[in-house]
Amino acid sequence: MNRITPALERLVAELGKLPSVGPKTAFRQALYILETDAEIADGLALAVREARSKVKRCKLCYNYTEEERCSICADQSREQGTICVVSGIGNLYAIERSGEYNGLYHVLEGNISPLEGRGPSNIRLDELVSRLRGEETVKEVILATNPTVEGDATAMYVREQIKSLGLSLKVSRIAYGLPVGGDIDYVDDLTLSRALSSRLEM
Amino acid sequence: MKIKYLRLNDFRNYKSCRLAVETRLNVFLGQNAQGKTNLLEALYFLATARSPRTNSAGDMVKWERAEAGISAQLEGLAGTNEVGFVIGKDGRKKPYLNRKLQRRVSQLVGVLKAVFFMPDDLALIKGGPSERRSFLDAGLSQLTGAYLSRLSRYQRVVKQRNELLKKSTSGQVAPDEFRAWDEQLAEFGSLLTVARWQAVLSLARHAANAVKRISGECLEVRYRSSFLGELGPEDGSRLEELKSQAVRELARLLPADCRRGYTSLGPHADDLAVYLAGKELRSFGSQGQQRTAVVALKIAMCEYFHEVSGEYPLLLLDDVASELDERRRDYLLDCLDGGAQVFLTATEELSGNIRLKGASYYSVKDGRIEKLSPGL
Ligand SMILES: Nc1ncnc2c1ncn2[C@@H]1O[C@H](COP(=O)(O)OP(=O)(O)OP(=O)(O)O)[C@@H](O)[C@H]1O
Ligand SMILES: [Mg+2]
Ligand SMILES: [Zn+2]
Repeated sequence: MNRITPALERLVAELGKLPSVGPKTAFRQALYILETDAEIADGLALAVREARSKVKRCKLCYNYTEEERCSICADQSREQGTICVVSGIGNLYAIERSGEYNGLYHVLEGNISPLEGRGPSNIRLDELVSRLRGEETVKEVILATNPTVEGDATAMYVREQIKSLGLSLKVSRIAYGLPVGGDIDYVDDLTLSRALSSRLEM
Repeated sequence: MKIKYLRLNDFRNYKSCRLAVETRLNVFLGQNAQGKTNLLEALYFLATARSPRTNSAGDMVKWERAEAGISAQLEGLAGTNEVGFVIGKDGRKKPYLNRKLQRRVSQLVGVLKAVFFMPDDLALIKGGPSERRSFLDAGLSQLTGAYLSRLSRYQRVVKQRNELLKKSTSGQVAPDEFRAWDEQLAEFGSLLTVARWQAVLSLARHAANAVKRISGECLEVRYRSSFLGELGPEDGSRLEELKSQAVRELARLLPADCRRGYTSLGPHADDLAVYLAGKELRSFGSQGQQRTAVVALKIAMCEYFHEVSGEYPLLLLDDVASELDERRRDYLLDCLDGGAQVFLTATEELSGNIRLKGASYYSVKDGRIEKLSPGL
């Protein structure tokens, strides 16, 4: 039954652990790694090791960085008075790509979700609270957690925590919107009713 | 709304079946175990993305096959549309609207609308509250997409909160963590409650009319909300107030919920109360009276669909001839003049009991459907 060598088998198994990689894809990728130029394979191995050793969390906002502070926190031209709270690093990059936001971030480690065993103490909330306590420059916190049940619960929890600090802070939740360029006919009813209730005056 | 065309591939005992439907009334005759119920199941699945008889969609795939494909062409106020599903052995459902794959199954629910009536439906009266809640949810989900999304969000919140309640017994939960869930539970919960309650107002009226005509008795149907009590006529416009009332109730019962380990209040704990001549039908009604009420509630649901959407749903009647006596059956068949497209099944022995003017008759045999020539 053992038609592939142990080392190849191991590579397939490791690749198969990556998100959205099934056994077939893992096998194809493994073959590619074996058959391609040596530099490409070595480059991949090196990149993996380097990323693991150099990339760490920003001490302030928990974005990724290779320095003490990430490029966003280090950028003095960004508005120091606004912190946008996101559920994960992917959301930070999405907001950055939009180019619309020029403040700082706080990256949570997911949302609270009892079913997955995550409570408020597991998602880097204490770090946000002590940051708000320590920095008087912060005037507004924007809650941009995912519009899921868990993201909403997290936003509500964070809002209450911030309120209980008694600081003069504005707390807002990003509006539930419609996908731009989408046809209203094809938007599901809940998105539509939420977009309506968080409508903006023109 | 009407179906023009139905296609079943590897669905239950159907290998490949194409059926052009030309009439409003359609009667399917066949021996036992030939595929009559399976046909209605497919139609109901196209409307609701659920089977009336199983929770594992994979069961519907023909044995030894990898996937089933079903689709129907329908004509209604929204024009002509084709709805379809590909169902995998593993239970995965791929929804298609006009042959384009949709992102969510929920986008298909209610494009085709259907009300199902089958012999098991006596459980609607005799069974537990969940039977009656599902009856309401199945109707409302087809009528408004927002209802379905709110319901699934609500159910997720309840699950999360119950998990938190279980953890709280070992004392590692801060009380303010509940508030984050309670707020959503109250928001979705009060929206669902009001939607169900409003539907029940109308269902109650239609069902009472029906019972009056069948047996002359007086039927009353009321929605029993576990956290809002009996609602009044103005309550539909007091959502914010209802929501805060729900939040207060949840907070008040939190200690008890912690002890029990589950959320005791909310739409998931509500019921539909059905009375006949002032007595709870479930405990005091005869079999016959209970059957009458079930017929009445199903007819009422069709009327409610008409009221809300402007058109009748498909009415799927499985084996009603065996289940109902002459009087109730005649009433039901009378109601069919109302305008709904009907798919009715019967075993051949009982087909004599079903005479419908202008109906098409089909024979169902071993997963094949044939149109019978008129006069049969
Ligand atoms: N996944 C499946 N694949 C193949 N055949 C199936 C599958 N599920 C059920 N069947 C078959 O379908 C038949 C039952 O069909 P159905 O329930 O539609 O019968 P019916 O015509 O309504 O009969 P009755 O008059 O007894 O209610 C049975 O013979 C059963 O073995
Ligand atoms: Mg049957
Ligand atoms: Zn940073």
